[in-house]
Amino acid sequence: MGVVIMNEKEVEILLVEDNPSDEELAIIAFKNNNIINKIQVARDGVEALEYLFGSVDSETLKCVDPMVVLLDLKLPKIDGLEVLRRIKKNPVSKKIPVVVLTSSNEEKDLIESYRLGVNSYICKPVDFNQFTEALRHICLYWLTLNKQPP
Amino acid sequence: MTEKKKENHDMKSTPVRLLLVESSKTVAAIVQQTLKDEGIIRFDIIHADCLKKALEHLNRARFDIILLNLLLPDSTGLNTIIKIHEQALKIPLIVLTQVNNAAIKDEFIKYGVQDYLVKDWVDTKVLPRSIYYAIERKKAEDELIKHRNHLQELVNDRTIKLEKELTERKKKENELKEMFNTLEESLQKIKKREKELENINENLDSFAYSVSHDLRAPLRAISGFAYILLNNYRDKVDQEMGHYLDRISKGAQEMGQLIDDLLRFSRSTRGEIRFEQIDVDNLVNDMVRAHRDIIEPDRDINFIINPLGKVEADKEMLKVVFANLLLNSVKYTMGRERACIKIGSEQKEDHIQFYIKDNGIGFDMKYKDKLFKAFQRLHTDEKFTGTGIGLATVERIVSKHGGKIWAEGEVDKGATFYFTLPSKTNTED
Repeated sequence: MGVVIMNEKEVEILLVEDNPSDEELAIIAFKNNNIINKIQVARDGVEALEYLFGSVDSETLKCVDPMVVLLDLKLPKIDGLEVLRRIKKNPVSKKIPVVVLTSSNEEKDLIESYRLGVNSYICKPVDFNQFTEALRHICLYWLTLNKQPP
Repeated sequence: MTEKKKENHDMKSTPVRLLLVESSKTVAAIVQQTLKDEGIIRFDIIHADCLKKALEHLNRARFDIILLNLLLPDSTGLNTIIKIHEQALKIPLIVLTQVNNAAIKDEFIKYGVQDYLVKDWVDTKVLPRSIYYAIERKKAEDELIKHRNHLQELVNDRTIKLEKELTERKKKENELKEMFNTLEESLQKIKKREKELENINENLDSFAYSVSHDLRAPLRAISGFAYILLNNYRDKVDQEMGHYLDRISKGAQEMGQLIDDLLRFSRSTRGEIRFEQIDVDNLVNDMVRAHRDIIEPDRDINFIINPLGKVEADKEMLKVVFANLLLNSVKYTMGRERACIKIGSEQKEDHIQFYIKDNGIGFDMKYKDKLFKAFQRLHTDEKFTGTGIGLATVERIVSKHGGKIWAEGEVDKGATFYFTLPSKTNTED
């Protein structure tokens, strides 16, 4: 129970992923890509919200400031779209880039994600090579190229 | 007098049968004398001096008129009239009385008395005329009653007829109501079924969603960890192990492809068709250009694109149709020294017919029906990869648009795929 929280200031990637295989593959893919940024994993929507806001019902952002949130959509307890909605509703957390990283390429998920203000939407490829490539692109863009407001 | 003679011709030829009910013999004699003297009408007069006798006479014989003095030894007043009437309702009745009273007169008339003679009734002129009018009036009354009865009968007949018609109409109305109810019931059933289908579709949607999401995750794990073993433990994996790991990884990828195709296949039939005017020339040219320049720039395929025109169809669906058919041709012309793919159309009476012809490996016409069935493949996987869902998807889309699809081919001599789309959409929306 509960999230094993690292030194919060150092966390650069929040990975919201319930599938342990996908989590492990993502970690390996990060490693293979020489991405050494600090990664925090939340295994469902509640953990993600608790990490960002302290509690599920809280409206105020804790002093965590990940450079990017990688968000799966199909999650236990609170699903990814709801997490996305909460992040984008809060004027402070709104600026955190959220990348939906999901198996779903359903049109309605795409439409709803963009309606809620997602920054990017990536379909997880089945092929591990392509998956690694996708993660490399995401990290290169959001952790290196992208400029965030102070 | 001459006029009267004419009028009374009947009465003269046949005597008027008169019953005189009068207790006084003297009066009776005077009456008889008076009527005899009258001369114009012949009377056949029977005299009764009490009610009892009068009734007996009435019982025995038929009379044309009754002259009645109300003052009788065995009955008086209205009672006499009532008794006489009981016996002879149809015979006109003249009452002889000494009393001149309007109230009594009205009362008499109410009881059907024809006339009412006071005091000077013995007047030779008044009496016969009074009798004559009484008879005539009674006749007229009877006639009137007859007519009224006839009319009543007619009305009754008509009423019965109308009632019958009404019953008939009500019966029909009920039948109609019943039919309507049955219809309503059927409608309810259909609506219920529709609702059920909607639910089934919703279930299918969530099923497809689960499939698309949940089936891919384990595949990613299989493919991913096989790849990691192969690459991160290269020094520990020998050639044979590497081969099998490669197989595992490829199998997972094929499965992923299969899932994608299946989802596309199931979506192709469920989604609403969004009709729009499509420039097919543009659509196909873009597709071919993309293929030639980006997807397979190494292959040298001779695409011949004849005019294709415009159609009303769902753009995304039509793209799937052309993409599948074109990629099929591209795939099965692989290895041809000079691959040639020809695309064209022909405007028919009420539809437009498209064709995609290639010089690829073709197929045996024996199997032409298997082409469009899901998971049916005519070529082995090693030579040509595929899931066997593409043409089934195309077939579904075409038939959903109200068109037809078929193919002609010969082994090693290429294949031609034809499909039609209605010129004007006859779909309701």
